[in-house]
Amino acid sequence: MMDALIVDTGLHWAAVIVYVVAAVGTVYGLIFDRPAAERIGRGLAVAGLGVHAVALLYRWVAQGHGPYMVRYEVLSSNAWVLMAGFLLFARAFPKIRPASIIVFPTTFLLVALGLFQDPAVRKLPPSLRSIWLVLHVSFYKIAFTTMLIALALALLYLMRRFSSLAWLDRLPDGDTLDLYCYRFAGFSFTFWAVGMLAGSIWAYQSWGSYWGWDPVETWSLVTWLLFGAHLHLRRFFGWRGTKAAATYIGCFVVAMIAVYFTPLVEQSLHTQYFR
Amino acid sequence: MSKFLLSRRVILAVILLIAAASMIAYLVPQLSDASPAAVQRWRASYQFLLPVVDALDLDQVFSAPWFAALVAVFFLSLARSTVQQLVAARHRTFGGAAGAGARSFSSGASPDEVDRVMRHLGYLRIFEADGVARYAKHPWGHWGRALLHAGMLISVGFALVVLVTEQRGSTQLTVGETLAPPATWMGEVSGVFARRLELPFTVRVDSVTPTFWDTDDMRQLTAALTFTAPDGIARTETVAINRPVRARGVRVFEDQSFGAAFFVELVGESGGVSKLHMQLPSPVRRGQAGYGDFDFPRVAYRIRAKYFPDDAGKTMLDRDPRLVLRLVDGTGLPAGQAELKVGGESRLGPYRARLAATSRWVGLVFARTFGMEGVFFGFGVILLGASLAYLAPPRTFEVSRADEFTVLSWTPTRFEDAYEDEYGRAIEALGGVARPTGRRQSKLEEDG
Repeated sequence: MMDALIVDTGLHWAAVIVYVVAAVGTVYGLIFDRPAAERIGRGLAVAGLGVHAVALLYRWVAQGHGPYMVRYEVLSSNAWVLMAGFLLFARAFPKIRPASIIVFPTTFLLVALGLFQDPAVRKLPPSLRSIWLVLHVSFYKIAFTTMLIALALALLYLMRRFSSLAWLDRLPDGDTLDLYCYRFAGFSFTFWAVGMLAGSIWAYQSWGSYWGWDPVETWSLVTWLLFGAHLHLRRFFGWRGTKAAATYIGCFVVAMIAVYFTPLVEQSLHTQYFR
Repeated sequence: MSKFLLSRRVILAVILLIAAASMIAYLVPQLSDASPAAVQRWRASYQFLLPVVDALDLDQVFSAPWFAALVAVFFLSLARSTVQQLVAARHRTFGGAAGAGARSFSSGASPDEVDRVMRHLGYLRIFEADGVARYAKHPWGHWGRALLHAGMLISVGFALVVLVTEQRGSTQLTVGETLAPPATWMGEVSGVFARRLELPFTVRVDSVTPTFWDTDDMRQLTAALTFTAPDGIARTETVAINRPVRARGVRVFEDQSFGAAFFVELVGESGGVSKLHMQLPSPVRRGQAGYGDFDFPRVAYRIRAKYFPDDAGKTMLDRDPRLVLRLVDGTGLPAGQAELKVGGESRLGPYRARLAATSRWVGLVFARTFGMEGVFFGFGVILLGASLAYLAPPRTFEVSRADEFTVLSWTPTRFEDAYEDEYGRAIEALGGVARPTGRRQSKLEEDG
């Protein structure tokens, strides 16, 4: 088992290194207008994704279940979905590519943070053996991905608006950044909702109760409601630009409390296994 | 009333108030969930908040009248909005001409040629009247948002039905123990319009079988249960974690609690015998103990107990259990201690203790709910609505004649730049010339 952990963590460190180089290349390319460096950065990100995928698959096979039990693997799989999702979305919507300036560093930071957690394997308890759990965590990972992309676009908008750095002029215009932030906020709202629904179905199947006002559940609902309010402000009150970006950042902070902070400090079903 | 329910400010305020209420329920210990000790500690620490907490029932948010009123307004507003969106979706799909689109071009092509090109591009002709024809791609996408809201409405509605009608009871049963109506529950929940849960059968635990991984994590916990109906017909079912069973309309779940049950005889100085039944939770790792505190009516002391499933510490299974008992008086001082194995005896303070037998126990939850199928149906409608909204955004071409030319106005409802090439292909196929339109939607506007 120790040998397997060494291989597992070794592969993860390799992925971190590739992601770091990818991030440096991309950020350098964006700031200093070097398209070649940007392309190399994206190519390295794909390579990093491949190494990272091998690491996750290796651990999956070794422990017999997916990467959603201990904090080490949760952070790692979140990072993988984040990078894979961003690269796919950037291919479909090229104008969001500058968000890599935030997405790429976040990816390697998540993996690196995970590597400082206990990587010991935990067997899957019977309550977590359900397809609905798989769907529940998968949709939350996708929601986190789209949420972070929207955050990146909101931050870029604010930087463009309030900073006079020359390289910011090469970004898409403010209207475009704002529009894509809106779209990805809508994606994340939907995926977050589906994640909650799948979790409710899993809870009912396991314990006969679809909602228990568990602290993580409560924060998740609060997050979803705040995102709903944000989208209503956008849609029906015409909020855009700075106001929309600022409120979105507030919603994102609440989401991170729900996903990362609450499981650390609270006793609940979610924290029983995910501490 | 309709105006109030459809008011954007009202729905926004309701959403934010429900979010705030949920936060309050997180910050203030709720009487329904928190232990009395935790509630007392909080109240002692935040006495300056107590007038507000007591006046607004902030320690029982989800059963407070004002929260019920909020949910009612939310539900009615959602219902009214859903109806409005369904009407709008129907109009957008089948209704009259919508006017100038985001972009338009004119072409010398004949109506038949236009029809052929539209079909080739995947557009369906869905409307024609007064010289205007509407072609739409993914016209069903107009229903996405409406279905999303309808799904929420269905889910919330049935969730309320579940809430007010559910009957639930939980208990811990030892192997060989029978639970017969009227059951005494360790924990129970009854909806506002429901009576306490009465079982329509008796249930006996025949066996409890835990299995573990070599890491001591639980692999599975199964229990064989015999259900006996009032007519005497018995049926045995096996329940496991994540594998509930159903008996006469009641679902039986296994929660994750289980452990060892100990039958201890205490003989007092006067010769009186107290037969004690103690259920202790299984430890989390081999070599560790499971703990429990007990107060029995005829025993003058509190009994603090711990047990090791295997005295040698080599397995999680209760192969050679060792029970350790400590008597504690009212001031918390120990009054005696004994270590017992099955059949063994020992002095325990003023008593002689004998461990007569051991067994296993398991935690079970019995639930009768109405409306869950409706909640899940609502989930399905939400998924369908979300899929249509994001995966099938409608695009329409409105085709009309102006003099000897055909004018085509193109309107995408969402993600305009993702479908620009469709517009370009239409112009190319019909030899069109772009026209300045009377109205160009800003990138931040969305149809309807």
